[in-house]
This record gives sequence, C-alpha cells and structure tokens, in this order.
Amino acid sequence: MDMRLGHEAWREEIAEFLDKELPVGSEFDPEFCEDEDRWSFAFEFTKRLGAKGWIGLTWPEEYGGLARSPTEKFILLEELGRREAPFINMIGWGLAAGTLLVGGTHEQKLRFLPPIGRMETFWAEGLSEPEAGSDLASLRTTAVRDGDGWKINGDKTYTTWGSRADVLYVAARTDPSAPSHRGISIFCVGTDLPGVSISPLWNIAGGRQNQFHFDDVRVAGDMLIGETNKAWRYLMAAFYSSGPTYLPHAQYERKVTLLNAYCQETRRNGRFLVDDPVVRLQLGELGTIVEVERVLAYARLSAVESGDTTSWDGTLQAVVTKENRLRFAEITNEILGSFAQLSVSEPLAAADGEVAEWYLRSFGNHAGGTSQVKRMQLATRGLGLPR
Amino acid sequence: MAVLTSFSAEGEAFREGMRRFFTEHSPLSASRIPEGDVAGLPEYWRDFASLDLLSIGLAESGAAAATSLADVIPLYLEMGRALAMSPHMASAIIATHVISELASTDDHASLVSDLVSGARVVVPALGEVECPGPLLAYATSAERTQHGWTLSGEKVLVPYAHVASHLLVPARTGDGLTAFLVNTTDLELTYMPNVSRLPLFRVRFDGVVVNDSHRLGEVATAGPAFQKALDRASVLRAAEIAGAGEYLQEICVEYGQSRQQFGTPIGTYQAVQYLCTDIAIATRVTLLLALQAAVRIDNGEPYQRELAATMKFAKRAAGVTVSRAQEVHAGVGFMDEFDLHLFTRRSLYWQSELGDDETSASALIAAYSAAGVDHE
Repeated sequence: MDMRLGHEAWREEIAEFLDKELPVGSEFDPEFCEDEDRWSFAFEFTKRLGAKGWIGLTWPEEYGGLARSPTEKFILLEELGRREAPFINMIGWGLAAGTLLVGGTHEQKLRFLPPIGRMETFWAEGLSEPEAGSDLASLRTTAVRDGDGWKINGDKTYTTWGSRADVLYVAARTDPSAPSHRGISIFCVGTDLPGVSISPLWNIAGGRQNQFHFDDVRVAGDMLIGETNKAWRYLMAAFYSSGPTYLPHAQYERKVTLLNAYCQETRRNGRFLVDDPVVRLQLGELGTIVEVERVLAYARLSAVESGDTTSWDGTLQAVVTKENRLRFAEITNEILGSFAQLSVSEPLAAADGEVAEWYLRSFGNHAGGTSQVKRMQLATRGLGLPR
Repeated sequence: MAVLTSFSAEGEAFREGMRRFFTEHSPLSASRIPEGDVAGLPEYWRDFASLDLLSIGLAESGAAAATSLADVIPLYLEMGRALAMSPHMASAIIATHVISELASTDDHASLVSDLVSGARVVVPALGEVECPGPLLAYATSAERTQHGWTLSGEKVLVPYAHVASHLLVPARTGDGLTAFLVNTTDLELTYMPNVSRLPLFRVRFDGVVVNDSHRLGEVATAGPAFQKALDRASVLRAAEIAGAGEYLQEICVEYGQSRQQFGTPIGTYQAVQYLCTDIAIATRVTLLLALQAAVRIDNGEPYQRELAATMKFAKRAAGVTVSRAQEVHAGVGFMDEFDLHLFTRRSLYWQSELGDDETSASALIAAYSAAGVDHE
C-alpha cells in the first residue's frame, strides 16, 4: 500500500474553496451541535459543496456525480476534517447513497441521488431499536405488503438528526420466517408521512437524538430500495464500497494542534506544560493516535480502491477508532488536569471549552456496535476463534 | 500494622443510616443542575449539624480527640454513591480543621462554633491558575501594611464560595504560608462553568485588605495545618470515588443481567465481564487504600507512602469506573435522562482534587528513598 495519495492540485482546490467558504470562526463539529445559527450555516456550506458536485464526488455522472475516485473523496474528507468544516447529511450522501448505488433501481437512483447531491433532502438513519442496538439484525420493526405499497410498524431509537430529516433510511423486517439478518429490507420513509411520530432523546453531549414511532405508516412500493430481504447485503456492501463519512485522523490532527498550542502557552508549577516531561509523553501518545488512525484509514481506502470487501481492516479500524476516542479524551484530561472540567465560556478552559465537549462526546462511540462487539467479530470472523 | 478491610457493626449501621439520609434528602436527581444555574447550600445542611457531621473535621484539641478518619469513610462512601452536592469537604473537613487548629482569638472560636452548628460556611481558596491542583499558595501573597494585610493574587476553582461567609485563604508571606479569613462580601466571585455543574468560583484579590485579627495562627506557619487537612480530605475523596464506584458496579451488573443482545444477556460476554470487573477492582482497591491510609493517619503513623498511592490510584479509578460503565451501557448510557453521565461529569472534578501524578510519584519515591522503607 502506497500511502502517498497524490492529487496535490485537487487538495489545493479544496483549500481554496475552504478559504473562501469557511470563514475563521465558522468551523464547528455538527455531530451533537444544536445551535440553529450554526446549523443554518452548515446547510448553506454543504449546499455550496453540492453546487460544485462534491457531495456526489464519486457517483456516476448520470446521477449527479462527478465519477471521481475514492482517493479524491478521501482527500476531500481529509481537508474538510482538518478545518472542522461542517459537512452534514452524511447519512444521505453516505449510507443512503451507498445503499442506493449498490442495490437501488435506476429510477430510485435518479430520484434520490441528485437531491442528496444538491443538499435538497436531509436524511437520518432509522436502524437502532430499543432492543436492537449492537445486535441490529434482531430488529422488530415490520414492513408488510399493503396493496402496491408497504405498511410499516415499529420503533426506532437514537436517530441522530432525525428532527431535521426529510427522509429516514429505515431497516424493517419483511420476512419474519427468515434467519434474522436475511429477512430485512431498506425503505425510504418520509418523516412527514401519516403515522410517523418523533420524540426527542437528549444526549449527554447536548445533542438531540430521537425516538421514532411508526404506526401503520404507508409507503409507496418504490420506496423499497432494491429487492426485499437484501438489506444486510446492501448495508455491508455500502459500508465497504462507499468508504468512510469522516476521517478521525484529520479531526485528531486539528485537536493535537490546538492542544500543542495550549501547552506552549500555558504555565503550570513554574514551567510551560510543553516542558513538562510527563506532558511531553502524553502529547507524544496523542500524536501517535493520529498516525494510527491515518494508516488504518489508508488501509481501508486501499481496500475500497481495489474492491476488497473483506471485513478485517474495516472491523479492526472500528475497534481502534472507537477505543481511541476514549483514550484521546482521557489523555487530554490528564494533560489539562484541573482545567479539563471547565466548559465553554470559561476563559481558562482549553480550546474555548471544546475539550470538555471532547470528553462527553467520546462516550458516543457505539454507533454501528460497541467496540466489544467489534472485537468479538474481529476475533471470530477475523481470527477464526470459535464463537 | 493495623489492617482495616471492612467496617465494624457500628460503621455499617452508620453507613446504612447515611444511605437512607441521602436517599431521602439528596437523590441523584438533586445533582442535575441545569446549565447556567448555580447550586446552592443544600437544604439538609442543618440536618448535617444535628447529626454532628459538621464537627468531624475539628482538629484535636486539649478537650477532644480528632474524629477518626476511618469512622468518617462510611459517610463519604454514601456521599459518593449519592453524588451529594454540598460544601462538606470544603467547609467541614478542610476549613473547619484548619481554623480550629490555628484559632487564636475568641472570634475564631466563635466562627468554629458557627461552622459546627451549620450557621456559617467557610471554604478554602486553594487553586491557582499556574497551580490549579490542591496545592498550597504559589503566587497569592500577603503583605503586611499599617492596617493589617493586603492580599494580591487570584484563586480558581473555589467551591461554594457564594454561600460562604468567609474564604480561608493561604497566602505566601515571606518564606512561608499564612492563613487568612477573608469576608466574601469584600470579594467579586465569578462562577466558572464546568462539566459537573458544581459551584466553582474564581476570586481575585487585587489589593484586598484584611485586618490582622483575621489572620489565623502565627505568620508563615499555616502550611502544616493546611497539609494535614488536605491529606485527610484526599483520603475521604478516595472514599467518595469508591462509593460512586460501588453504585456503578451495581448498575452495570444489573444491566449486564437484563440487557439482551444476540439472544443472550450481555453479561455473558467476556468483554462485558471484563468491563464490570474493572469497575469492581478499581472500587474495592480504592476503598482498601483509603482505609489503609486512614488507619495510619488515625494512629499517628507515617502515612505519606500510603496516601500518595491512594491519591494516585483513586484518581485513576475515578476515570476507569465511569468509562467502563459508559461502555457497558453504550447507547442508553449516552442519554441525558440516564443518570450515569452525572457520575461521568463528577469524575473530572474528583480527579482534579487529587493532585497530579508527578506529586504522588514524588511522594512515593521519597518514601522509598528515605531510610526505613518498612516503617512498621
């Protein structure tokens, strides 16, 4: 695997775009942000990305894409991540688009992809359920044939950005007699359909996730993506073919840069933090986390470029990324000591109080399954250990 | 060597009583402070007084022995479990100890009576910008003037300053530390927003004038009194962390037994068992270390090695217990309505109160470098 990505002119083009469209002070991580002014900016920013065709960068041109390579998309995500650009709707251009490209009909691709590419529809995932978290295949939401359409009943939970979504990407059981993961289908469900109700679930990082209830929600037949009972195959293929929706190493680069600056400017017990040998070791460990995430991301990119859909690197990366999220926050807190607890608007807080947010957000590392479940998958499917 | 690994029947009864007390007066919901709000003095503060819980920090005097630290640990175990929000550590344990030890006037004695009765609260102002841990004054200084003393400097992370009548301020005078009582009405208190939503304040002492009658003890001699109070507080802080850990252990075991994924309770998975046992080990060892240090302090034996290990381990335990509990609970643990994050937030404060690892390491190295490693 050659880790030199090339495409320097492309990288410069992105930098110029960001210099123009992302003024200093407008950067933010939208993951659990509920500030409406910031969201308005994020919508507009993502729209401008879409106007350049960059949302569907790798999609076929007939669906509004630019047919560029996964490496170019990777570079785009790297530059956006480094600058903390609020590139939103990742369920739309990531999971949903990936599934449509793998399993959708031509008509579905024509119908859904261009609006996603222009940031005209906002998507959220309807996957997890109260009793189906890491064990997603045990989901209970049902979709039953109703004339030429479907009737959906059930509950979905932890739906991030659900209150902002126009469309939900819903996994529902269409064949109760099949083995759990074989009887599931994917539907596009408009959030304004009769029978769809939503209630907020606030998380500890201040973000709104949501609980959805589907009470005899009728969706048209062409809202089923691809074929029935193929959801698991589509999900896995979409995950491995479409690549990541964000790059941890790019985000960590920014954080380590901020922390380094803080340690260069902040004195404790008579010396600058950066001169404290213990802090130096800790900063070194954070810098190592960046490189670990980078090489894992490159390995996954290499797999995507070569069409390798084996799960080893993907699952291994999932374990490491989830656990690094906790470890990064833990080491950061050790460096900051007593000031790690200070929030936004407190002048002595590091990085304007962002660091306290990193700590609380670090515990939101279970999307797609906990690291413990991923380790079990790595052990059994990856290493061949007995189940 | 006295080894204490459990409580006496009276200690257990005391603990059970305090659990009932906090269940009634300070359930976990009481620590849910809305962002922007500042928690005040709890309503049960006078109840603390009637239960003699505000006198337990009194220094030994001619009339009375200091309260056994080991006997106070059950209280702090339950305070940890309940995430009780009160100035007890600051006022009853630290400030009351220092003031009673250094008191030299009738006014000082009267203040001590008021602290014990719950009529007044005094909190120590210890943290400084370049020295934010529970170490003594680094930059705050006091200069003698014609009318008393003029204080200069800034203190940060001062707990419950807004409900205190006075701050207990260690300031550098020449080569030593002197303790001063500073009336809070003379001060501007600035709330410091923090993850735990605890009432922590910044206080500036730009030329604050203090009458000499508000000096406690002799000039430049307050260091030992503060250090002793802080050492006792550190042991109790460790007990508080252990108490929280016990609660986290219980909810993780319960969740491991009830939450099913892949057709079986998640507690059957070795990965989850490891997480739960990490909590159990961190909690039990923290308590044992705290008990060991407490017994040595109570018996007047050398305790720096044991205290340093307690502080270092408890600090790590505060982080381990909440992070493991978050991992066990995954999605539901990330939700605001679930109480777990209240412990996750408080963990950062507790860790900040136990000093930095370098200080603990230095104490351990010093203990092993001095003659008589085995100081039985």
